[in-house]
Amino acid sequence: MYGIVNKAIESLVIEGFGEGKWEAIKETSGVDIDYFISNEPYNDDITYALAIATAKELKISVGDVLIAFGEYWILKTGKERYGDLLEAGGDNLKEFLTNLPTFHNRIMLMYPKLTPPEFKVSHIESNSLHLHYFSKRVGLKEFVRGLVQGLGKLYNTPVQLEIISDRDNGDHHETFKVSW
Amino acid sequence: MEISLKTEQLNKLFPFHILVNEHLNVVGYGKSVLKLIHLTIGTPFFNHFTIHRPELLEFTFDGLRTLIDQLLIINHNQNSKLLIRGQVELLEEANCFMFIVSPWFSDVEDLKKNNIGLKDFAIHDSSIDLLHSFKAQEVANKDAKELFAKLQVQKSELHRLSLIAKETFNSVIVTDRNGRIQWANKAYEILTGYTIEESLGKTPGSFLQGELTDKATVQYLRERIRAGFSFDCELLNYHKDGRHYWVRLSGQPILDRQGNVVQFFAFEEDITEKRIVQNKLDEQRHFFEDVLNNIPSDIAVFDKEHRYLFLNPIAIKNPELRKWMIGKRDEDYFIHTNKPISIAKKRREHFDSILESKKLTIWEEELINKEGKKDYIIRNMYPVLDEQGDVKLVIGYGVNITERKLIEQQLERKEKSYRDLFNYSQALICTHDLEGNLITVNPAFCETIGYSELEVLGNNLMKFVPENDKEKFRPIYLHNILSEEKAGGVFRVLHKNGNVLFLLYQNYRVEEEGMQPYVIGFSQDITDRIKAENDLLLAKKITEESARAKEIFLANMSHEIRTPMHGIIGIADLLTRTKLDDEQENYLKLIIDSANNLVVIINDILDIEKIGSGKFEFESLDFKIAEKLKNTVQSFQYKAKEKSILLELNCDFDIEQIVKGDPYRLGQILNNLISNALKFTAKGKISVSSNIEEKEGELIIKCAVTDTGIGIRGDKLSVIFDPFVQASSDTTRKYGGTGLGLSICKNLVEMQGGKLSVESTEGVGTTFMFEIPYQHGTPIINQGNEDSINIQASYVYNRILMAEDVEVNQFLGRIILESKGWQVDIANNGIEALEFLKQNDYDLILMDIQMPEMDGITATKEIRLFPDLKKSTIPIVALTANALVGNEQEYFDIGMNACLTKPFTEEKLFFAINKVLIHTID
Repeated sequence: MYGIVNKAIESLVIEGFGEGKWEAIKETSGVDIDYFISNEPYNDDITYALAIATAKELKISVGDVLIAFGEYWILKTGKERYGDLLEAGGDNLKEFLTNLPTFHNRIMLMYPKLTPPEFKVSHIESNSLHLHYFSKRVGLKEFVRGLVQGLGKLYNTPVQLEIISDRDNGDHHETFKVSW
Repeated sequence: MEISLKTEQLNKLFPFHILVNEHLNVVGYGKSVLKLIHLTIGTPFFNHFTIHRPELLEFTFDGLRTLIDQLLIINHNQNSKLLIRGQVELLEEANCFMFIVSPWFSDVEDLKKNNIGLKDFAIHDSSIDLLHSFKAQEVANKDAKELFAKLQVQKSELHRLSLIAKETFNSVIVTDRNGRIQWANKAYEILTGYTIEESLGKTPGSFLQGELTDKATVQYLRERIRAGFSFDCELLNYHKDGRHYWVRLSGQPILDRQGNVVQFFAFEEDITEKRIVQNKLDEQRHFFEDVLNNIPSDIAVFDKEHRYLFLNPIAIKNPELRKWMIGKRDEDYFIHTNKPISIAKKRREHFDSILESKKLTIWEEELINKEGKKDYIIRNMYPVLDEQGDVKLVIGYGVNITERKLIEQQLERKEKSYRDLFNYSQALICTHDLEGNLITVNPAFCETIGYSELEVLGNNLMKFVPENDKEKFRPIYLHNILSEEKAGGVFRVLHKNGNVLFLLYQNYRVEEEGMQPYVIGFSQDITDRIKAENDLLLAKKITEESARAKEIFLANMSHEIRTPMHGIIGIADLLTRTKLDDEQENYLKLIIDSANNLVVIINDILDIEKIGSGKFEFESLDFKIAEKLKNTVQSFQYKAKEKSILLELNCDFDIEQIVKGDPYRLGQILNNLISNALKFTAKGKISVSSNIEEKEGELIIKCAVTDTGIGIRGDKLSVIFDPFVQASSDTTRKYGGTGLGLSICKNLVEMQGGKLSVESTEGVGTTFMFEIPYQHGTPIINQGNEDSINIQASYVYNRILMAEDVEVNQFLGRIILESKGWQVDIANNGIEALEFLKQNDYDLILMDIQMPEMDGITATKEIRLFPDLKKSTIPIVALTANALVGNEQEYFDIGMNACLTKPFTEEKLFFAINKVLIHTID
């Protein structure tokens, strides 16, 4: 995971709960990194550890932490740092989600050390589509949920996500039915 | 292979292409061009664009041909900032140039400014990726700037810390992981006296510590360093010059990224002065704690929030609990120890009131102790104020007053008991001062004398004393109280209604230390009792006077009847000695019987009176019981023969048996019973049987008088011994009698310790049985008996002086005595008797007791005083008609020798004369 993700987590915690809490989370997680470099890849374990420690410190579930991270990533980090680029991804939620597979493919080229997930889109309807999520990482599907929810908010489009296939249930990959 | 593209495909692959014909006019363009440029078909290309590079020398169709295979950078004429990059190719068939270009953006923001989105680019177009790369670079630059800024801050901080560490007054050292000094600051050199160079490579303990250094602390430090832990302690070190000093040593390990200890950083603060002050403070604190801990009351100190700052062991014995309570409130403590929270709330209320009033508050608390009993604590709590007058601390102390409380409760109960006793007592209780002024009175006092408490208190007792008694109040009552500490007796007081009350009182003077002496009085209203006693005394007096009058009357009556009876019987007896015809003899017998009956009646009345008044006396003489029985029965043989009734006596014992007792009363009893038997038996027989039984040293004489008379009805048997009662009213009418005989018999028997009973069958007969216990008698000299008329020639002068005032008795006496050969002188009274005796010599004097001028008693006393021994010792026989008083003993006491009660028979007279003369001879 690139440092930008961990930075987003750091910002979220500090912004919401203060420096002390972030230090506590780092202490709990055992992550002793003072500064995350955005374009530097970090071991995925660090991101997981931070998510677990955050859940523990804030006394919420890991899933909720990941959803919060996802939303924050879109609405805060993505918007602040990649705002125009993000907006160029589509005029509306549907267009953005439709472009998402291409977008991630470009990312893969631009960040060769990154192993970005792959997205596919199917069943495109006027008010819904199926978003297929393929990732080597396990357990970040709630992060995807948070990202999509964040996009909904970015485009002022209330969105509902229903997971219709799940690796936890023995499926090949996760599929979200995204409705708006 | 020739290929051709459809317009749609061309638009998808090259959305920004522009077609220019040989006239250099725009003839076509891609789908995304219009998003960037307002372009109109047929307008000259160069109206819109300028070839920026390479330089176009000739603006012709051929000129454009020179641009083929070169990277074109094209400016938009209307928007100088818009750069287009790409290449141009000649489409020969169409004879036009196709510019295959893309807008060149160096910033993502340009997309937005030009309203361009991802979909406007061909997918293969890497312009977006380039923009992304730009963005990544921008982010990286931003990161770098942030990192640099952060590093700058850290550097500054580090520098500052380094400076602090270096220049701080406190000693700072850095050691390797084994504690060997690697770096130290200037303060270290000053504190220890050692230079840094001298210290490098050494452990501080090796040269800074000495024998006074606490070994346990050193051990602690070693263990912490060895384990790679931080440490914090106070330590005594030695300066290079030998003096020691105290440091507060705080250190912590410095870790590498892997968490391994690489160094230790230690900070040493010189606390020598602080330590000295602290020691003094500790000493003071210990001193005060010792004082507080040893005060025998529970002490607690609170902060303004009611949190415990201090508790002494009396308050909380358990040291762990005491420690736990510091910083806690009472509510915490009560919940922790499961005690009633209500007490904590009450304490809190008092505490809050102290905070507000800033004054001492005292209250009493009830607690249940471990034994389940109540403990009473008096709590005192007062605030300690700061200079501004605000509450700084609150000090509380409690004293267990359970014992005192229990005593108080006992006292209260006792006091209530005494108060109840005082209030509800029927006795009159009061206190007064030594002058008699009333201090307290109880309700009974007020109720009895009719005044209210208010009307009484403060007044002098004398006010309530009757006028006549007032003069005694001070000299007697108060004097006794003052001199003897108590006074008792009967007090007369006046009721409010004027009635006089009698109070039986017992008053005491009370003197107690610290109090004015006073008098406590207890009294009882005995007015009714006094009245009853007076009534009783009056009644008794009346009764006694009445009894006395009755006695006198009976005595007089007895005397006045006996005196003439004596004459009648005596004269009749004389008459029997004259020659009489049968009829006269019969009449005379009737006269004698009637007279004797009358005497019996009088004797019975007198006896019953004696019995009733308790004046009956019994003789104690030795006599032969069989002889007494025989003589008594014998005396009735004559009458029995007259009625042709057989009268027999059967004695089943030794006829010589002598007993000691009253033979006369035995005779009287038998006389009565035999007389009754004769009276109620018309035919048949009367048998008197007797036997003796010895029991417990006494001789029990048992007698039975059995007749064959009319008998008594069973329902009358129980009343025949009552005085004045006979078996039937017919009995009185038919047989006469007073009805006193059996009552007298029963009394005589029982008064001698015996018992009398009766068995009877109406129409068959009656048996009266009695038994009397007698003492064993002693043999007696034969003194003769009144039945044996035996005039002994034992006289000297054959001359008797008779002092008798009643003429008929004088006559009778003279006739009887002279008939026996005596010369008789008659004196009419005592004075004459004395004269006769002075003038003459006599063998004996018969002295009537009741005489005019001088009675027989006075005369006897005079005679006994005669100087002539012969005359003064002359035998004197008292003659008296006064049988009631029974004071024969008095006659003997004054010197008389015998006593005859009138009427007496001739036999009795001579028996008495004989008896005294025999004694005289003796």
